[in-house]
Amino acid sequence: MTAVEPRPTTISPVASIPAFYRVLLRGQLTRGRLFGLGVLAGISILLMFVGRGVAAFDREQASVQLLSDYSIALLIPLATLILATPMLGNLIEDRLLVYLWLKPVPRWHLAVAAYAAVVTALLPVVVVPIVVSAAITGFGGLIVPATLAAVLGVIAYSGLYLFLGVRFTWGLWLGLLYLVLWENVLSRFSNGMARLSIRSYLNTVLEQGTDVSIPLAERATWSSFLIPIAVAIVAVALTARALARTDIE
Amino acid sequence: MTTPPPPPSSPSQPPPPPPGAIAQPSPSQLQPIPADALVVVDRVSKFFGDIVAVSDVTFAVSPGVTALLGPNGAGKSTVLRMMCGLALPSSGTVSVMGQSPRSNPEIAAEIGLAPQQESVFGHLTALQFVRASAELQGVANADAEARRVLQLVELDANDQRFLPTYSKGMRQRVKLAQAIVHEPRVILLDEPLSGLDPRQRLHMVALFHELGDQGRAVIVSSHVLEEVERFGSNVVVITQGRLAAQGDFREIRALMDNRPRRLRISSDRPRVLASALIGEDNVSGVRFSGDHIEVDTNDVVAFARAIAPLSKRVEARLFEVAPLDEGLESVFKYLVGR
Repeated sequence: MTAVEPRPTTISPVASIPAFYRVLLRGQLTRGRLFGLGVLAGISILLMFVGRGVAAFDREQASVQLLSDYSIALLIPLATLILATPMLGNLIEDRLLVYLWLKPVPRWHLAVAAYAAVVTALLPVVVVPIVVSAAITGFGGLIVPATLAAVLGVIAYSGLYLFLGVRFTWGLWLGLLYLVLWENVLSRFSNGMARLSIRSYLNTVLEQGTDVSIPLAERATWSSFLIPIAVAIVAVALTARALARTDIE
Repeated sequence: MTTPPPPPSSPSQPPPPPPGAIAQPSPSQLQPIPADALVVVDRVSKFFGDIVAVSDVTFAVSPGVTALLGPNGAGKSTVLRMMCGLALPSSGTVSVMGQSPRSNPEIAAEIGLAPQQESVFGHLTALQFVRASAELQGVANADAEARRVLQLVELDANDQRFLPTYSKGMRQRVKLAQAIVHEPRVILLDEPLSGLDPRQRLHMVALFHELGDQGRAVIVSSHVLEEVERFGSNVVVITQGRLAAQGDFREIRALMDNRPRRLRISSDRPRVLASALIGEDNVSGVRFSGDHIEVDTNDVVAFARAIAPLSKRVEARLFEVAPLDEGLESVFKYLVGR
């Protein structure tokens, strides 16, 4: 048909991922979102001050419970939902993805860059308040497990919500439904259902280094580290697959 | 030469390859494929549920400027999206430089697209946007190239304003800049002249021709007939998702100009004038519509020459002679029904 051959073009992930990352990260940090995340983080810190007012013999129990029930159960997944779902989902909706999609790179470069941008944006707004909250409790042993749980939570939920945003038009609402219904209601009913809840693994990490027992935080230590990471890897792979298969407007 | 759309596939023909497969159109399916064709669209259809957006469209595009003409909603943008791999055909194949453009990095490097949508990244300046595009295309000196193409489209690379503050015309030019910064061999521009002032339009059309003269296939979609006239001689006309005509613009324009027309005539003696018109060679029908006469003519030019002397002969004063079906839709309908 044509004697003209395409020019060989190889763009390494080292070049493409940072380029995608810069474009995506800048677009995420809007005033509205930062305000919402700031409010969520502020509540986390405020609650810890409230926990300090509890009677001394209950204080550790109350602090761990507050970290589990608010920071782990709400702050991490909600903040991640706010940033991760629209990361690529909004670009699809606004018909801007075409500018990043029609490039000579495999789709996983874009998925990884989007994931990295979400995690980068979330670490300061989620992990820092949780570390501060853990420090406020006055129990030094809580800081490391709370930090690890926060980082692992960001890692897992970011992948999951990034995928939902790309795959489903109603990704934000599906994510919210999953968070409310599964993570906070159904997974509390049985140990078996809790196995499919990210929160259960994060609680297991949080429980380490304290004498407090958190309900349904009965995962093996190794799995409470590996499962959130595995969730993220699978979710990013699925995001790349969805990007490759979808029709772009 | 102007070629009619190819006939629909007969049952004896082999089934089309699966969507997304590397296109290998057989010569018999296209009439004819130019030897230098960079893009081949072969019996392509696209359905969205029950809606047929594109139906059995076949054409080829060679280096130079080719206009994709059709009314709004005709399926032009869908065809363009399939040509650059953004959408998979429901049936048929699209090939760019002999390969499927879908998820094909080699081909993506050879395609530049300026989409129709006006949305732009709200947090980027023109330079940042075009430079990011250059980086993601593997352009060696992305910053310098981005500045060069911004200058080419008459935009200031040092403008620190974000893209949403730009006028529609400026955004169009930024989109064009990001589409050509990596010097692709196939450039797809979806309604690129909308929002531009006349001087900018002239400049852009000159730029399209310059790119076409460099051996690139520049495919420009438009719904404005007069606009297309400036693009050059190659035209693909699409309407209602079907290929209506393809070939030299002058021949298609002649077809459009010579099509039967319906005219509305106002006169102080409409009945006398109507009686006289019935005897005219180039008049195929006359009817009354209120106070007006509606005339069908096979040759509007001859009719225009004849109407004044005729009305003078029958002593009828002419108040108005106006076309009733000058809209592009009617032109395209005629081409499809030909």
